[in-house]
Amino acid sequence: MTEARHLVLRISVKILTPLIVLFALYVQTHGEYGPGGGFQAGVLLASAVVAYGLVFGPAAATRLAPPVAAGVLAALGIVLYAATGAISPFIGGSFLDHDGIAEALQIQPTTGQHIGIVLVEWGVFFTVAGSMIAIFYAFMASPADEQTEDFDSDESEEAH
Amino acid sequence: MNVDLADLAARINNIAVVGLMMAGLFITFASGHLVKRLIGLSIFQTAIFVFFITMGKVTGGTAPILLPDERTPIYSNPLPSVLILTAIVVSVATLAVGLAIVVRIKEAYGSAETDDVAAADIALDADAQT
Amino acid sequence: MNAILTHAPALFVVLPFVAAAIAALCPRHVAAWIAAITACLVLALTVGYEISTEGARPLIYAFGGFAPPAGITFRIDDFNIIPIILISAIGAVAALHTLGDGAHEASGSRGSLAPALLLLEIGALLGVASTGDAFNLFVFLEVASVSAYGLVALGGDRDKRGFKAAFDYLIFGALGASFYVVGVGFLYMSTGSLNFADIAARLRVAPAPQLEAAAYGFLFTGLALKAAMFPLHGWLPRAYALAPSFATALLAGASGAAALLALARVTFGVFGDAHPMIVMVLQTLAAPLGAAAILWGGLRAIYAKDARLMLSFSAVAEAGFLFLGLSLGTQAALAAVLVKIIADGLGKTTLFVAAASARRLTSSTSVESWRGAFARQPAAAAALSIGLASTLGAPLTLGFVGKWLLVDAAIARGWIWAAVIMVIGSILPVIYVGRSLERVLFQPGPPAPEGVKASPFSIAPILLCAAALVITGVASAPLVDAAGSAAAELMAEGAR
Repeated sequence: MTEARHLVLRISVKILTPLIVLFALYVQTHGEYGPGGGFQAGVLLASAVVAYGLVFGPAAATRLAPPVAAGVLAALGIVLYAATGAISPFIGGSFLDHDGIAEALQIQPTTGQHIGIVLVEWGVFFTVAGSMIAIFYAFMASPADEQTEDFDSDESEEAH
Repeated sequence: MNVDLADLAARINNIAVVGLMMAGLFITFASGHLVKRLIGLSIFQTAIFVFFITMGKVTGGTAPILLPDERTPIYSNPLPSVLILTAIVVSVATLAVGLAIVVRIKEAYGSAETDDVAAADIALDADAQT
Repeated sequence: MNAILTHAPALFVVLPFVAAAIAALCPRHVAAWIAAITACLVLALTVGYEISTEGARPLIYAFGGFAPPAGITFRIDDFNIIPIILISAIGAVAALHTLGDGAHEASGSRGSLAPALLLLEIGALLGVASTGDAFNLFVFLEVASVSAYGLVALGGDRDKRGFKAAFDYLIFGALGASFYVVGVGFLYMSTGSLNFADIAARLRVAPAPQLEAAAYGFLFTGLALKAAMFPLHGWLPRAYALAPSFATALLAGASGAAALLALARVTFGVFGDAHPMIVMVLQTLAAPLGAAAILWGGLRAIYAKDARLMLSFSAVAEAGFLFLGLSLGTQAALAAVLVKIIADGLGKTTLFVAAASARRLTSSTSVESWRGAFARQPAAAAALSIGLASTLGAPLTLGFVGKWLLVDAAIARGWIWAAVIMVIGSILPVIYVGRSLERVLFQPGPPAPEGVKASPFSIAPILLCAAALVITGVASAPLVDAAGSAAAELMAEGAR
């Protein structure tokens, strides 16, 4: 019976989810020169999971993006960010000075800055996406949701 | 009373900001529901974001983007907007933690009304004292 | 080795953050070990940095190689190196406590979150103490606060009032940070810069009295909220009394101190004490409210039956001492405030950890549960007694030196009323500390339950803290000299 309800919503989320993920990656990969970047892209990616979870229920969402993966993703982002920053001190620059990357790889300083920014942005992307998904799960899985609209409670019944 | 209307109009953003801040502060302290108090806090913080962003606006200025023909247009100060991007992240984090705590309060006390929680707290304090 | 020490300012903030991310994913006992090892490493780094840069300060660490004022910098000088070491030492004590008697306070699915939040808090507080950038300070304050809300809320698992305490803390903490950031906005409007040193220089060249006044008003209110100045202290007692003991040890010892030091830096290092608004705020707000806090905190501590609530109200009174000291506005007073911050930080950390160890054997939180503590566990009780003695301001402890210097500075400034209040504020603890000491040392109590022993991970660090309180209390000259030159440097920075 839930299949029959919210048919438009289900179909449109089904179509939109991959598009949102694709757009997130577009914003991410064009972020260092154009408007965009890791933060915006991370929120977009998370919003795809959120939309999917709201319509298809917690079980489906956790199949798509397991909660453990969200935590690992967030931690991985921080480690990637710090590791990128830590390259430079080995060469003699200060923390996050991406000229060090250029020196280490023997390339143009601007290219070094470019690589550094791209890596840092991926770190931000992972962390933001991971934490936004984790925040969503933290509220979604809570048993205190008795009074939510019937639209949601249908889904949680289905999940249990 | 001698109010310079033109001067007042030029500072309309600050008046709006102060109005929003006061509304937010009032809701934060006077609301009877914990979620509404968090909403008040959000309004207060948003007023500050408006304060920063309007501060950086230059009349007639555009976005600080380099044009193809190497022309430098008049552009608004981007730094306050960048700072506010960070402040928004901070306020989202605070709001998420706040809502998570409200969820736990609701589970533990069975209510998220300020009065109910306060009454339960007073009863618990009395128990702890004896 | 030398290269590591060059980058120590970046490392002692980044290391805890990265370790926190990893610890959050590990099982509980692994996470606790990661936290303890990282916190000890950070302590080693800060101490090593202090020794290796002796005489070479102030040092500026520019992140990303962007020179100030454009880039974000850490500025380590004689003024903030002392609190940096204090914060990392308290962090190490708190992190080791999660391995010891604090271990049972965070269990279950959230067990590994406690060490992770503790690490975030340590890193952020060190950032607050070392940053030279006004907006960066806001970000670190908020990272510290958000982790603190989480830490306090962990206490809700044992006593549901902890959730409400965390909620109130969050409301006040977020408002404080918001006020601070409005002040930063006015500073930026008046100078076009966010770097503290650059702002100070620009204000000398082109003063903007009205904007400066607005900026200072907001900065003061925001940081006073974070440092729990009376009457903005409402969130503090319950938050500290209901949080897990390792969280309270860190928050009571280091978090208020970091906010107060930021306030001292803004007041004396950026604006200088000559600005009329600052003189007005200090003399008509900070001084009377500090005095009121001394009396109010002392009285409430006397009537508190719960041991941790008593210590929390004593923390409110101590914040009052610090605000009254700051309001004196002299170099001697600033040095005294610095000494008092160290005494309070070490004392409160010792007390909260020792109280947790004592409680494990009795499962009660009231002061009465300290009966016979000395017979049951002499080591914890010794640390508890020394911590209490320092809170009381008993001679031969650092608490005495701090209070003595403050009273001395008040008399030198000609504020006899302030000196009188401080003396009264030193007599009030006689009642509650005396009562507690009697329970700990002389009254007989029930024997310890079979098989429960205090953990060395909790006891050894606080014995060291207690020893530090006594050693610096007896041979106080080096510390007092260091605090004096630190205060002189900060005053010189802001002199117009």
